[in-house]
Amino acid sequence: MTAGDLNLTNRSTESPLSRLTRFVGAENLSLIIALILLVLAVSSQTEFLFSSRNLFNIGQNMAVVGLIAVGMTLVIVSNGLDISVGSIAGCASVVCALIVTGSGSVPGGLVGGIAIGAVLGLVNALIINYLRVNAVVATLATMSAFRGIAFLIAPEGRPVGVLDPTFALLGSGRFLQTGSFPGIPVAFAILVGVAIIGYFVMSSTVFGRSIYSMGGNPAAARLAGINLNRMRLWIYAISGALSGLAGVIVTARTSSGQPASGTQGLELEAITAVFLGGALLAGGKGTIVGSMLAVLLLAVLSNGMNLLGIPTFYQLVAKGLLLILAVAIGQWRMASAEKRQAKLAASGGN
Amino acid sequence: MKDGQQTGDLATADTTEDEIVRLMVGRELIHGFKRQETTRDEVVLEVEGLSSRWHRDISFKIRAGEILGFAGLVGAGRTELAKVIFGEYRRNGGKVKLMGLDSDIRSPAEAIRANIGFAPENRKAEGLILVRSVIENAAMAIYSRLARWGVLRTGQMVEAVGPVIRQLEVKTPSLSQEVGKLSGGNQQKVVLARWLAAGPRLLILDEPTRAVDVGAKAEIYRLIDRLAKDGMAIMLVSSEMPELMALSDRIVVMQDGRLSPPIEKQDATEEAIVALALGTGVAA
Repeated sequence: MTAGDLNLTNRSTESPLSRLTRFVGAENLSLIIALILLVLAVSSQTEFLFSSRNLFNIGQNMAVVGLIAVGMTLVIVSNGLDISVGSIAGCASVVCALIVTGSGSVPGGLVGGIAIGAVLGLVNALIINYLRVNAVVATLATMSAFRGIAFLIAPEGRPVGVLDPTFALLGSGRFLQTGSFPGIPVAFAILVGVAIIGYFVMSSTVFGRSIYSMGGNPAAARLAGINLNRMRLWIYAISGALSGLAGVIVTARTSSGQPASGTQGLELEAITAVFLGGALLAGGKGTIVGSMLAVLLLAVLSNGMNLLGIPTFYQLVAKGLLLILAVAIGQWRMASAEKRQAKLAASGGN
Repeated sequence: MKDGQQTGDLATADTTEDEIVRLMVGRELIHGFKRQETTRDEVVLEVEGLSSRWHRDISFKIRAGEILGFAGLVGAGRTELAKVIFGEYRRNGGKVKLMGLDSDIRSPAEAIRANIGFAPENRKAEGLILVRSVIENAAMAIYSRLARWGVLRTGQMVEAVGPVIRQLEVKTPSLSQEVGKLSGGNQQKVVLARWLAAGPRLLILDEPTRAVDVGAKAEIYRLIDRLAKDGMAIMLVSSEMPELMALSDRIVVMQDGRLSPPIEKQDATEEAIVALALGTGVAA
């Protein structure tokens, strides 16, 4: 097929099923199936899952991890990793609480939290770019350092109480509340907005396309004119800013700037979500839609485990296993694709 | 076998390489490939006394429409020279002039902006993003040119590189096919498509037919020839002597980081080139 019939996709030979798979994406389709199975399993044990109050909770819980997972998608697709996101959220939580209590300005606190997140993200990128420390090691180190800074800037290392009712709306506010419908959490709406922007950036901008290129093969991307160092500055700054925003939401929900509580372990959940959403360890693959589906899956899973009264310790083990499973599936997919490729080459095909 | 049809049945003993090639490609080519001289007056690239970690006192010129062949042994520093000119490696001294103007290119991004293209020798390691689609790989170098306010729609990419992919007869089921799933020759064509779409004034080709099947090779030769005819200046690094002799207008030989004076096409013999490459030849 070489002549005039070369299209973006090869529609003529497609079955309706494969057309559906292409539209949703094979990985996303399996996530949706997993989500349906999970919902069926949990709801067969407890009817509380579909209660409007519980759905509201799931939406609210998704927001914090989801915001971080949007940034983490950019990072992982670019073949990086950011383990420091939870600590960045902790710093942002304290900084924003201090600004709101100090100045009484809610926008000031919001912007301050996001800004400190972006700055800490830039620090990560600078370490990776110019000290040539690998991303995993660099952000493992800053995970510890940023957490320390969060405690240092909190007076006496204690949580900073915020008693501003307008500010609290960011965390526990809702709109469209009518009768039995609990409304939509403000935090969830923020996540939806950010995810839509993230989707647009990744699929339809030079910046997003370049992230895929550099993640798939940094050397080739550089030789095609992509400035890897500058890309990394932006990618980690965005990941940091979104972690900062997540930290602000944690502050608003708990009415206090928390150096640690509420932001610990977020890195694990966000990273798990991105890999579960179809990103590859080798970079160059992954989508915002996949990551968001995975965030939803994880939120329902953890909510279901709570509803079923599964003790926290088991939940921790389950979360760890899930990350390994998510990455292993990706590795297996890649290996089997390579095997198919090798077989094709050996049989003399094109 | 060609396209599922048996085209010939020969006894191994009385078969020549040319004959097999002819039967496989279906067109008589490669060894008999003849170029017309298309060199114009305008000098596109002029390098004067360039030095780097690998090179000493390198000088040469490439004119519009000219193919300058770079011969030499593997490790003589040809790939490194290509990368120095493309801004990937640093230049320590000397002058590089593009279109007659002094230029100081410090990164591949700057080189591309200065209208230089570079198809590297190792396409899997440096040329292509194997997990991404044909269209992305072909459009990568012109993203910023295609975009408006940083926004880039798939439709724009299809319009920009679709015709080029078709023109190069890249065998792919669709433009969204992962490049890693194509054959070697078609992968190389995607690399060339990227630069064809970008339309540089100077194109650096490093071993353009390495690990490419015979059929694709012939097509790549015709493409290089046409690009020169259209006025592109081409720096051709190749270790295949017949390829170098058939395509180049002039040949320079690199030996241990130094460059011989150019040998005109009609004076170029394999013996002379090998002697220069080994450093045993008399200065031309």
